Amino acid sequence: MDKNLTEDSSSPPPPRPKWRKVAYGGMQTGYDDNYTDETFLDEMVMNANVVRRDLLKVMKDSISISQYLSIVALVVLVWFHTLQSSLDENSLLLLDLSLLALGFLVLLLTEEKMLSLTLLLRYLTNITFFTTGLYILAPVYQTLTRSISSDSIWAVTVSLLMLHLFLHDYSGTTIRAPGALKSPSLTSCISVNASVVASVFVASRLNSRGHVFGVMLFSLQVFLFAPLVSYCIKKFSFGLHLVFSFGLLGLTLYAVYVVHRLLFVLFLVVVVVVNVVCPYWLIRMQEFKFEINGPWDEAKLCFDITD
Amino acid sequence: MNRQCRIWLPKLLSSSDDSTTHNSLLFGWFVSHHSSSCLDVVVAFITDETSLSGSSLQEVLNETNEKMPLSLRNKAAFTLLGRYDTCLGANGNALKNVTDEDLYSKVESNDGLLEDLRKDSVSSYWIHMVNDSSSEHGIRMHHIHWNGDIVSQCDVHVIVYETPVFGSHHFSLSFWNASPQIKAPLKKPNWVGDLHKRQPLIEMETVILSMNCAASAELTYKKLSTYLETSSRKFSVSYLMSTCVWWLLATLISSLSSLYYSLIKLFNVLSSFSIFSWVRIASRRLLKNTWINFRIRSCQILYWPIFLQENDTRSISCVEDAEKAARHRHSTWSAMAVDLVLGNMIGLALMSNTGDVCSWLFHFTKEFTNDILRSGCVWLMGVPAGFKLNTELAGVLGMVSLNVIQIWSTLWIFIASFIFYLIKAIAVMGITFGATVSAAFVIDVITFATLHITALHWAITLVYSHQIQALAALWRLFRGRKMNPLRQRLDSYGYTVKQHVVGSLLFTPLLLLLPTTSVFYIFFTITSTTINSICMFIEFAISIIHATPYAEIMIWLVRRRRFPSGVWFEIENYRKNIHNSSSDPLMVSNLRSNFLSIGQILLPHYTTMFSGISASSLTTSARGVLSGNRMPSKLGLDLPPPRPWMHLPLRQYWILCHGSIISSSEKGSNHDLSHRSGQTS
Repeated sequence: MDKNLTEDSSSPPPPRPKWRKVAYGGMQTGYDDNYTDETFLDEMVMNANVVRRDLLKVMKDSISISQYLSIVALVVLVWFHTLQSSLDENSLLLLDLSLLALGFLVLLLTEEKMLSLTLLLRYLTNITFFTTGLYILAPVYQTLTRSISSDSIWAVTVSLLMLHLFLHDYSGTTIRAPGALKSPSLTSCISVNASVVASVFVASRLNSRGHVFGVMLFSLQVFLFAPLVSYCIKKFSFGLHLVFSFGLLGLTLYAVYVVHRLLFVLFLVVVVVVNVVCPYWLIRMQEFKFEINGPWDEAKLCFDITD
Repeated sequence: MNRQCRIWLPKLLSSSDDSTTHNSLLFGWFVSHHSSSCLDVVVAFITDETSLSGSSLQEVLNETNEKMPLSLRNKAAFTLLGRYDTCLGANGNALKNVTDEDLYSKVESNDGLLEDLRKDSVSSYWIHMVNDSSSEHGIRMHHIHWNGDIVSQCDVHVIVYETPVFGSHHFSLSFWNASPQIKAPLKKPNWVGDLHKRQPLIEMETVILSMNCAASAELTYKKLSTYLETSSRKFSVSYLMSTCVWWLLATLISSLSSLYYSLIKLFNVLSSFSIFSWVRIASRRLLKNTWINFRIRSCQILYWPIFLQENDTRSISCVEDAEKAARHRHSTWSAMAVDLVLGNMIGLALMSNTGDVCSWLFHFTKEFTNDILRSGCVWLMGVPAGFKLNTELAGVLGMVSLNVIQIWSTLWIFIASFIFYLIKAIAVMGITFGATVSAAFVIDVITFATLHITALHWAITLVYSHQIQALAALWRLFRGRKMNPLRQRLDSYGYTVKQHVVGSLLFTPLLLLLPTTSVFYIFFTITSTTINSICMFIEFAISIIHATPYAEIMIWLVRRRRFPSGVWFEIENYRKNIHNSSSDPLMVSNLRSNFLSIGQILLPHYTTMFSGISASSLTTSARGVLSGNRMPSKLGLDLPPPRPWMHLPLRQYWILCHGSIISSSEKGSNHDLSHRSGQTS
């Protein structure tokens, strides 16, 4: 090359063949290994997987999150009242039974597949086993944390609930109705575990066996089956879902207000943030989203082919 | 390159200055090396000009060679080495400053016979040495026939050694007591083994072996060539007296030994009856250690005369091998004798102080049960060391332990009256059968007496280990993993929600009850380990008593020279081209030997004892304590292996004992005689 520049000889370099984009054939003479021609970026696709959202839809979807937050707040309130001995055993047990019946009713009404007798019987046996197991374990739970100080218990409970809220599956439900396709992911299982352990810790602070049994039953019912119920309602009719959510929200706000003003303000702020501020923020940030996909991406294996 | 030659001369030859022998013949071995310019000449002995010649000489040489050990025969053959001339001047005195012309004239004049011998000799070397007063030691090599060449100029190194004699000294190159350790933790590639298999350049081992066989070679040659009988025993009064004493001693010992043997046979016969078979089975399970040691003792009683009567040391030509055989012969009876002496000491001490021992034992057990066990359990049920335990669970565990301890101590109150007779039984066993059997019996009694602690420890280990395993499995459940025992790894696994719920419901109580269980577990592990370590210490002492080589120690104390461990050369003089230009460089040195220390003798025996244990097994068992595995209750030290039992009739056994003692005393006296005769000649 230098020779060509310094000399004035007029022998041009031999013309190199046109570069072809092929996967085989080895090195093409005259071109580097990582040569790209001008058609390289033609197949670029931008923002292929981005979902177009509008504000109202996002706000409507975030109602589920605040609904679940209010359910968890209600559970904490019941714990609080039981620890303060405002709720006694019988009313607890009544609460449990009524919730169970209500939940069953909702499931029966909203799901068509629930009407078969065998399914009902299976549910019934499961629930019987579950209740018997809890009744047997209640004395063990009662004295479990006597030697641990209360502060540690509250700290552990709060952190476990935080973990539960972070890892919770807000779009679907962990306990599926029979016949569901996908199995629950690991994070949703871990969130269920965290909630169960938190309820065990709280229950171990109570005085009598009946209290322990009632609180455990209540917490487990709500944590395990409330997502399923709300998922069924949402699938059945969106309007019903909205009504249900607003009702729960109002109930929770009132109950928290009765107990503690500051917590009420905090809860309100959280609800507003989740429902209004976060969707707006999301929509604002969407403008900056810029995804690039192209033929240079790694191939992804596609497992569920539905033909 | 100049050829090099080492000549190994026995001391008697180099220091003899009377010139009665001239024109003598040298016998010994030529040891050639891989490099062809190096030769070792080991001179065994020197004789006058022999009447044998030709084929008869060759026959005698072959027969002598047959008596040598196989490893020596493979490397070098016993042969006629050459000739040794003393130069006499005309007046019959040894000349100083002999010149070569005189020498050559001497050489030519009188040895048609020697030249014939040289030509007949099978080996390709022939050496001609002269007695030359001009050199310091009077020995000089004149010339050497080396594979057909006559070489007079070569580097000569004369090494003077004292002929090894059995019972006095011998030479050895290596640390011969080291048995090859069978531990190969890492697999080595093949070429490493090939490295070690390389032939050494210098065949020192063959040279040392030939030196060790020199004395027996001389004896054999002289016996074969001159048909002399071995010197007849001198019949003297002292000899007769010693023979009588030995005979009496042999009778006494063999009678005692036959008594033991008949006892053991009676025992065997009794226990083979079907009535007593359940007794035998039960005692074998309960008194395991005692059975093992008793079996070892009975094998020792049977086999000691057989070992003592083993090889005839006269037939072993290499002194080193003879020494090893002698050590092996005396091993069994010396071990048994020391053990019996120890047992008698301990047994007599126990017999005279039985009452004191009894009361001390009672006091100790009461203190142990009350102050350590019972109060320990009560302490654990409260708030031990500031740990706040779960009161219910601690209460349950504590009450169970206290009840078990109470039951056991109630049972032992009944047995308390028999303790006195038990101690007397231990003493009697020590006196009759030796210290090891009674110590093993003590181990078994301790194990039986602390059975309640062992049972409690086993139960709490069960609970603790299952709790730990369940916690580990539940933790894996929370992570979504499952243990794959085939591949020994964790795989991801999708558990159902029900399994998750039940798992988390169970996880909390297991985790929060763990401190309580682990506190009890630690307490019982400490107690049980203390008792086990006492038993292990006694087991260690038993193994030490079995493994120590008493015969070797006694021999080492008396005569250290019988334990060589290496050679070194003490240089006397070195002359190089000083007077004449024709004289060759000559170096004369003495062969000296290093000796073993007592630690080097004892160490291989003790390391074989510990061959079953390794450091990794200790760390494994220590780690196992944390996860709830049981600690081993025995060290697992090696004991001498029990040999197969032979059924000899009693009379034959008595004759065997008697004969072995008499023959070993004869060997001892014979070697004394030969040793004395070797020194004076």
